[in-house]
Amino acid sequence: MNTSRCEVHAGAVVGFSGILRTGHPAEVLVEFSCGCRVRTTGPVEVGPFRSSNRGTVSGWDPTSGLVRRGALSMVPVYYTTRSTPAGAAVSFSTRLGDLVDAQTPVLDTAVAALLAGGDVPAPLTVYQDVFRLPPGTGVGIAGGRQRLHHETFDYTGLEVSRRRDRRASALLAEALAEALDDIPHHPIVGVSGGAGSTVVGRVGNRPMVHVHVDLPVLAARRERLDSTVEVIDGTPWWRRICGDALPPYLEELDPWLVTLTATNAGTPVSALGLAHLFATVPGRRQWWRSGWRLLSVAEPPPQLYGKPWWSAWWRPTAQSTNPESADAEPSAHPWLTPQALSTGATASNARIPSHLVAGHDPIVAAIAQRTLDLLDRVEDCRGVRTSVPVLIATHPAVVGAALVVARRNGRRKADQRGLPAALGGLLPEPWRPADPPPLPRLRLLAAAFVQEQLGSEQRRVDLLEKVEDTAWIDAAHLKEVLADPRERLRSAVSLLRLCATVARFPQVLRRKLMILEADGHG
Amino acid sequence: MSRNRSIRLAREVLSTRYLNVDEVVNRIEVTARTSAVQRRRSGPPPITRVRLIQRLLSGFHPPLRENAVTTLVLRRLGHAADLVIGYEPIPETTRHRRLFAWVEVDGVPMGTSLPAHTYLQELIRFPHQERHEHVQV
Repeated sequence: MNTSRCEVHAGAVVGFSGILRTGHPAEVLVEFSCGCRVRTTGPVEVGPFRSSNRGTVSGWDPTSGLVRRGALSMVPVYYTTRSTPAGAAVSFSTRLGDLVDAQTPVLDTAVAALLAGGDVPAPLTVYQDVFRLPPGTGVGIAGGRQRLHHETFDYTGLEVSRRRDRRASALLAEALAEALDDIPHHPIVGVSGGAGSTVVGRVGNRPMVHVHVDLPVLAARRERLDSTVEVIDGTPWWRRICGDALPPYLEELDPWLVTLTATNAGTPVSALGLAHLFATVPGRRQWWRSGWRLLSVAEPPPQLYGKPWWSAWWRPTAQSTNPESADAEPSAHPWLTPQALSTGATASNARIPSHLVAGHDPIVAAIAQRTLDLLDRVEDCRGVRTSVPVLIATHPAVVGAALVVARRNGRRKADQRGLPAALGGLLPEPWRPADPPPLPRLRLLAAAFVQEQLGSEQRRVDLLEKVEDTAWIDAAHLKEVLADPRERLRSAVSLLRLCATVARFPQVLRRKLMILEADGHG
Repeated sequence: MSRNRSIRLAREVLSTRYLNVDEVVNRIEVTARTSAVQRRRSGPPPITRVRLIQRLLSGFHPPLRENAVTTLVLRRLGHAADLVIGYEPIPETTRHRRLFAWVEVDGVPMGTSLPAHTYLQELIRFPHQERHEHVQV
C-alpha cells in the first residue's frame, strides 16, 4: 500500500503515530493533510520537502524496525517507553499531544528551566518519561528492550552536485531556487524585513507576505519593505494571541506565523537562520577579515578596550565573533527564588553535543551545529504549536551550498569576502536591515503583550493569587513589580514567561506548595 | 582623499589622545561655536577613515568615546556632525536601559548599524545648541 498520499483525496502525510511491541508487527496510524487517517504496516515518511532525501524526513522503517528522524528533519518525533510482561513497548508520535494527557506527570526541572528563560534540550520534554528524538537518531526494540540507533549523515556528499567554479552568490541563488521548488505546495515567503527572507522571496520569485502588527515602533518596518511585498494586517490575530487563555512563550510570540497559517492556502516558508548560517560559519581567513572589520567599522568587543591596534589581528574568540552574544537576554530573574533557579539549571545543563557534529573537520562541524540549532529553534517541546513554517535553511541543497562556499572560502579572490557577501550579493539595492533587530522586536512584542494581559488590576490580582504561595516565586517582590507600570515594562519578558508557565503548568506550582507544607510540618 | 588630508585627520585624532570623554565633548561644543559648518562638501564624511586612524593610533575605546572623537574630528573638517546618545524603549530585565552612541551628519545616522532613527529613543545630543527635543527617561 502506498502511504505517501491519501488514496481518496491525495492529501500529503503530515504525521504518524503507533506502538512498537516486542514480538508484534508494528501498525502505524498515518495522518494526511486532508484529515484522513489510515493504518498501515508499510514504511511511512513525513517531511517538508517533495524529494525523498533520507536526511530530511522522519518516519517508520519496517525493514530496520526503527522509528527514525533524519539529521536535517524538521518533523519532531516523540516517544515514551513502558514495560510490559512481554517486554518493552514504545509509543511514538509526531505530536506530543498524542502521548500525554492531563494526568501525565510534568518534569519539575523542565518547568523551572522554562520559568527561568532556559530551554529544554532533546531528548527531554516537559513531560516525565516522554522523550524527543534528536536529529539523526532512531528508536526501536531489540531483545525485549528499547534501543536507540545513531545515524550518520554524509555532509560531504552534499557537495558532489555543486559546481565548484560557480560564484558564491550564484551558488546560493541556485540552491534556494532548488529548495523552493522542492516544497510541495505553493510556497509563501514570510518577509520580516531581514536579509534572509528578502533574498529567498526575490530569488524564488515567490509571493512575499509581511504581517504588520499595529504597534507604534513596528510601523517603521512596514515602510522599509519592497513594493512587491504584500502587507497583511495581523493586528486582529495579535489581539487574539493576547486574549488567548494559554499565553505563548517569547519564542512563540511571532504573529506572522499565526496570521499566515490562518489566512493563506499556501505553505509558509521561513528564512529564519539563513543569514545566520551563511554569516557565522568560520572561514579560513575569517580572522583576517574580522581584524580589518574591527579596525575600520565594527564595534570592538569590550575585551579589546584599551588594547593597541594589532590586537584586532588576533584570531577572534567565540565570544568576540558571536553576533548574538551581545544581544543575549540577561538572566535576571527578580522574583525567582534560588530554589527555582537551581532546579531549572538541572534541565538546561542536560544539553550534550550531537553525535552528528563530532568527528568532522571544523567547517563541517560548524555547518552541522548551525543546522541543528535551527532545528531546535522550531521544535515544539511543549506540545502547543500546531504548525511550523518550512525552514528553507535546512534543505540539503542550501546546506550543501553553505558547505561549498565555506570550504573554498579564501581560496579565490572573489570569495574572500566570505559567506556574508554571498547573501549580500543577492540583496536589492538599496537595502537596510530591519528595524528593530530581532531580539528587541521580541521584547517589544512581549511588552505589548504584558501591557494588554496585565493591564487591569483584576488580572494582576489573579496572577498573584496563583503564584503567591509557591516556593519558586518571591511573591512580595512580584507584587511590587506588578504594582508599578514602569517595573512591569522593565520585566515584560520575565512576566510573559511567568504568565505562560502559570497558565500551562499550574499543577507544578501547586505541587511545589504541597512539598513546602510537608517540609514545614516535618 | 589626499595624503595631506589623511595627515590632518591623524593630527586631529592624536590631539584627542589623552582627553577623556568630558573633555572631548567640551571641545565639540567649542568647535561648534567657533568654526562654521561648510555648506558644500566634496564627498561623504570620512567616518570610516577617522575611525580607522583612531584605532590604529590610539587603540580601541568604548563606543561613546570613539564616536565623540569622530564627531569632533568631523566638526573640525567642516561637517555638521552630531554626537547622539540614545536608549532602548524597552528596558532590560536588570532594570537598566542600554545606552547607545552614534554619529549623525546633517541629521542622518552614519557609520553605524544601529536602528537609531526607528527604534532607539534619543536622549541627548552634542553640540547642545542643536539639540532636539529632550526626552524624559
